[in-house]
Amino acid sequence: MEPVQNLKETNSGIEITWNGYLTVPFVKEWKKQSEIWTSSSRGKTIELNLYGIERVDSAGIQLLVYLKNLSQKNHFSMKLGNHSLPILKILDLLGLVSFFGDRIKVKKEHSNEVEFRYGTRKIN
Amino acid sequence: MDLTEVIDAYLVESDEFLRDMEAILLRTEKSSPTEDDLNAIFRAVHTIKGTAGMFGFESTVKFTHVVENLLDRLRSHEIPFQQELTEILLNAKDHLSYLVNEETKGKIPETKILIGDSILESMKPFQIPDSEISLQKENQEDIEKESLVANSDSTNLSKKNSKNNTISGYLISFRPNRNVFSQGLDPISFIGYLKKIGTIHSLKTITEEIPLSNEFDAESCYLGFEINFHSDSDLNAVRKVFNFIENDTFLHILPPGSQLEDLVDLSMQLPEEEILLGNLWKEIGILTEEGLLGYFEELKSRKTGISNKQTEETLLITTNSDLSIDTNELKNRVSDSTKEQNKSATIKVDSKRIDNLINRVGELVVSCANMNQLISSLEDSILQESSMHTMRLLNEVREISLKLRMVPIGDTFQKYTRTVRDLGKELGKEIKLVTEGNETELDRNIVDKLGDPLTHLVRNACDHGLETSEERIRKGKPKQGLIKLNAFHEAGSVLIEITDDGNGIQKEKVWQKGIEKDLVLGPMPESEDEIFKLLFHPGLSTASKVTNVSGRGVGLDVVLQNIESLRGTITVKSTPNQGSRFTIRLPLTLAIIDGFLVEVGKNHFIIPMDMVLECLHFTEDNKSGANQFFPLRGNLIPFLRLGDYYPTEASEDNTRENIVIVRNGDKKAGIVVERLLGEYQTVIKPMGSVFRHVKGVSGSSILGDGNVALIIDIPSLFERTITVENERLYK
Repeated sequence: MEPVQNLKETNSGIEITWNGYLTVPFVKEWKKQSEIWTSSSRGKTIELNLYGIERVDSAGIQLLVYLKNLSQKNHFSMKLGNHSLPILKILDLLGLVSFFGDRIKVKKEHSNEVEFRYGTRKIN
Repeated sequence: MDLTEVIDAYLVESDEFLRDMEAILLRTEKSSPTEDDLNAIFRAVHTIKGTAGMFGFESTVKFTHVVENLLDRLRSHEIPFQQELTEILLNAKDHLSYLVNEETKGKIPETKILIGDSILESMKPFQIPDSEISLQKENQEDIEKESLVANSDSTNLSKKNSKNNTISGYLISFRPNRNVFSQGLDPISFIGYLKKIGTIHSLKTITEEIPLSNEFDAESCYLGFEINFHSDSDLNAVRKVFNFIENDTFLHILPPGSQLEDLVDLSMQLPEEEILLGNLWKEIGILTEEGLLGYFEELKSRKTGISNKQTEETLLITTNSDLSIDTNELKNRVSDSTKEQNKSATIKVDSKRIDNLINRVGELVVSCANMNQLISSLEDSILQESSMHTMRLLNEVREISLKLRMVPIGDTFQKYTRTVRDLGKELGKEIKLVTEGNETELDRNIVDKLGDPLTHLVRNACDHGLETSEERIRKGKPKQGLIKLNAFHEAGSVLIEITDDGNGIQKEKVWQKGIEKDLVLGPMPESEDEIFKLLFHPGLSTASKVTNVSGRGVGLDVVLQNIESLRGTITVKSTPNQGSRFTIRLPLTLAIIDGFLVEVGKNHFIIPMDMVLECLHFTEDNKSGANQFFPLRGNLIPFLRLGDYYPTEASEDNTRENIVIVRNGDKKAGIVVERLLGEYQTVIKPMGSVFRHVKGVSGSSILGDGNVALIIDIPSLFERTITVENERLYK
């Protein structure tokens, strides 16, 4: 599914919603779209709503890591929220929950699909 | 690093290990060794072997290898510890000490090798049955291989680890190629598949390779994974999971039970820093905390071939900034456990550097004292206050610098346990050595030079101080003789006492010997000190027979010389049939002293502050009759005029005189001077060899204004006064 990015101004910055597949064929496009806000977000809070991400792979998760690292370099705050199940599963598998450090809500019906056995220790 | 430095480090470290080994072995004479004891001895020998192997010291390696085999079997309870082994292992320790020191200088002579062989031969009966000796031979072939593993602390740990907690699961190191996405492969899917044949215990995604700039190519793979995977499947089955991707990736799977060495091998193949990997493996549960220390040791020994007890700490600290994972907590925990293991974490510093520092601090103290003097004449209170503050800080720095060179005397005392034990056996006496005040600290330079005199006094006490067991029983004394070494502080000095509960010194015999040698005349004096002073005269011995241990008449004079060279004194007390006590009084340090500056004529003198009791006004009326005595609160104290001993140019304003009351041990005396200039911190500059024989002066110091002040050697001045008085009286 083609990337669809929606941007909405908030009091503290921008809320961005992503819909589609965050996988190899589309990651280049996702990166291009993210450049719209990564270059001009200094001092702002970016909330990336991932509810609409239906698939994610190594390339997709790598882009999220890249953006998180970029937020530190370019001095904006980036939060991932509303994680879709595919996102949650991959963060769980790769032990990256604490890397992003976001609050995670797991729906009751999904609770059997994620374990969070490791990689959740808060990094100081 | 310069090889000489590395070899020096090896020598120092080996010496420490061997000393510990000896102390433990001596303990085993009284009680069976504990598990920790056996581990520590094993570690000592193994470490020496490892490092020696790295330098190619074959004799040391060959010898230690066999000793180590025995120790390994002892610590794993394959063979029981037997009392006779103490003696054999002590011999092995001595021989090892010889090998370590001599092999760094050149080849070991054949005769010494044979001595080593005979020690190894003596171990054979305690080894396991013959059938297993062939196994030992096989091990011998492994010497070369094992020698490459330089540090055995690590090897020891690794062995321990392998038994307890090396790798309980598979360690999968997975680094997909950059172009893996373009081939339609998704690394995560392979990891997900792992869950079908086992459990991912823990996984760490390595994201450090992801660039943070335009170089980031969304279609390149920068991720890496370290996985702690638990499964009943065999290695092949685990490997099969990655079948499709294996050709296009770096994949390394270590099966359960792998050793620390394997981890180090792996770390060297991976793109990440070895230290980061160690911490990472600790985080995913591949390494325990202990295992991590072992890994670092192993890593360091691979890279440098030297061992340092601080490695764990150092490595963690130096790399902490590079780590993206949370190592702070780990660092704290590791350093805590390191502290537990080595009670005091220390840094080895070349003693010359410390000497240099102390010297410079000394110069600074003098220069600051001069500045202080100048400022005090300016009547500027703010400047004075600031100067006082600087001086206070400087004093603290001085104290700290001096403490850098302070070492507890306990280590020196400890080596006499062995001396006394061996001498007791040789002389057929039962002797017990008790040490007290082991924690008393003394300047390293003094401690180093104290070894010989102490050895001599201890040997003397063993030989003709203590009686034989039979004689002691006859006298109603305990069968076991007692020698006590004690150290403590007293009035700015350190006192070291060597006491025995033996015969005591026969004063008549000493005096008689003195007369025979034309050293003294007339009847025996009352003063015990005067009699015992003869003992320190060259060539005078009261021993009834000459033994291998002592009694050749060479000794106490050298002891005195050594102690005097340290600005110390030695006194003797003895009671017939109850024993003798030799007391050595030493200054705390040789470098800087708190002095009391006085002036006679135009010359300055410094009296060590710790010997000054008080200062009083002095007039000729104070003298007690014609004699040189000063009445002090009902007591008469002898005094001397400094000007009489060191004639100086008279000062123009010859004002009233003052008397400085000083003490040396339990004696008091007065020194008459012209002016008192007050407390003065002094850096001692040794006198040139031309002035070596000048009595009564222990050094000199440059004052702030550039003038030279002589530092008065009070004990020597006391002695000189007594001699002069005696000559006067006997004339």
